Amino acid sequence: MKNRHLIIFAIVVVLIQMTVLHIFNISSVVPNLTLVMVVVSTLVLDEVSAVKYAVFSGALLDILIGRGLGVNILAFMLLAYFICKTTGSSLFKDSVATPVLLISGSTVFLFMFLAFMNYFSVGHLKPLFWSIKVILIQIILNNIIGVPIYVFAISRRYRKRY
Amino acid sequence: MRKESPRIKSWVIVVSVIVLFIIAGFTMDGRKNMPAPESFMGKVIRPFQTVLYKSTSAVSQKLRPVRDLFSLYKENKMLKEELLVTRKELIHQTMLREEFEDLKKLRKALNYSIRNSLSKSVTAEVIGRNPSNFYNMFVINVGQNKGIVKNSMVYNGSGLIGQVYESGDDWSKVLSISDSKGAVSFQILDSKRKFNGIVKGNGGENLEGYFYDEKAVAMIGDKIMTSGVGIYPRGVIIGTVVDVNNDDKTLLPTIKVKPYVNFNKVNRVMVIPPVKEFKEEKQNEK
Repeated sequence: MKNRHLIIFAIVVVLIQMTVLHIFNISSVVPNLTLVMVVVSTLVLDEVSAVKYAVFSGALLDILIGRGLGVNILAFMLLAYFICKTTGSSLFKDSVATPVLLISGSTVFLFMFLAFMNYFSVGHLKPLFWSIKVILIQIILNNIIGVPIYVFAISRRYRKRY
Repeated sequence: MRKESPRIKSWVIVVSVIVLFIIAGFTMDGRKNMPAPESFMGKVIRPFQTVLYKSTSAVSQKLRPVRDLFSLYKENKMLKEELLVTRKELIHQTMLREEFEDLKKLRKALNYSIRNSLSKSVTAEVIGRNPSNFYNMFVINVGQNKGIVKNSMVYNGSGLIGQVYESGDDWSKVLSISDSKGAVSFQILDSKRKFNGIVKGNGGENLEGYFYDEKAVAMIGDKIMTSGVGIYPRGVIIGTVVDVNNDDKTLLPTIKVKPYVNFNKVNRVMVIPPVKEFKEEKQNEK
């Protein structure tokens, strides 16, 4: 996929994330479309494009609403790279369990990564009960939007191939 | 087509991780001046952001009565209780007002001028929100062109919201007090108990703080406001005391405060530059 397509796509996703998704909050927890799209991109794009897309999305988030430049780039880049490396071609891409597991795992990873960065910046951790509540709600919300997007993306990919 | 070897890819990732860690480390505290490319990026995206955010908010406002249907009974009960307290306060305030009018006349007679920094505030609209659920951060549509700089105070009709974290040409990032690194100097909103202290976010829903005076008396339900010490001007309401304790080590009374502002429902805010900026401005005028 061309870089400019990846950038335009990342801009659209980040814009939707910042302006639209806040109305779908449950107990102040918002679904993370940017994260979901990074996970889906690792499954439907080649490795280099997926990592590039992750970097573009992270950079946009850092510039437009992030607390420090590099935090989201780092998180998304590592996420995309590890998903590509660990899953490879051995993954059952037809199974719904694949996106569910990857999105859930990525949500936990992102939360822990941000907690780590926040600890170094502010010097305190978020309360445990609050953290568990947020992670559980966000896993549910991310899967609600992530699974249909994944199914749609995979079906389009197969249609193109055959 | 050129194909990189896995070893080169791994090295690129490792180097990127190190570089990004260093950049993040330097920028995590927020920068006084946002670099021009970042400011420009925000400027380009701002019109789209404004249109999308306003449309979404309009739809959300229309649907709010349906969403709030189940919480109406609880809210009604709470409002009735608040009304009783407010009636008592009204009587007290009426008495204080008369006293205040007398003091105003005295101030005029003595030709004593005070700086009212709250009158310098700029109105702004929220045009974007952080998705991480980790930092309570949002974007507003005013920036350096309206005199808004890092650490400018952000508030609305409900109370103190937070401070400007970084500002571009015509947009700024705002960090809420619950996440803010900077502490807020407060004062109890009671003419008989003018105790001061410091309150700051602990990452959770409530703020935590302590009094300077070990003899300070605080009660659950007390309202606190900014005291004017530090970057925040005096007189902006912060929240209600929900817990009072004593620190065994320092022997100072500690409190937990529930902020008045619901950060997820903030759509319009007021921003005022930090107190230091006013001092500099005043010196320049002289």
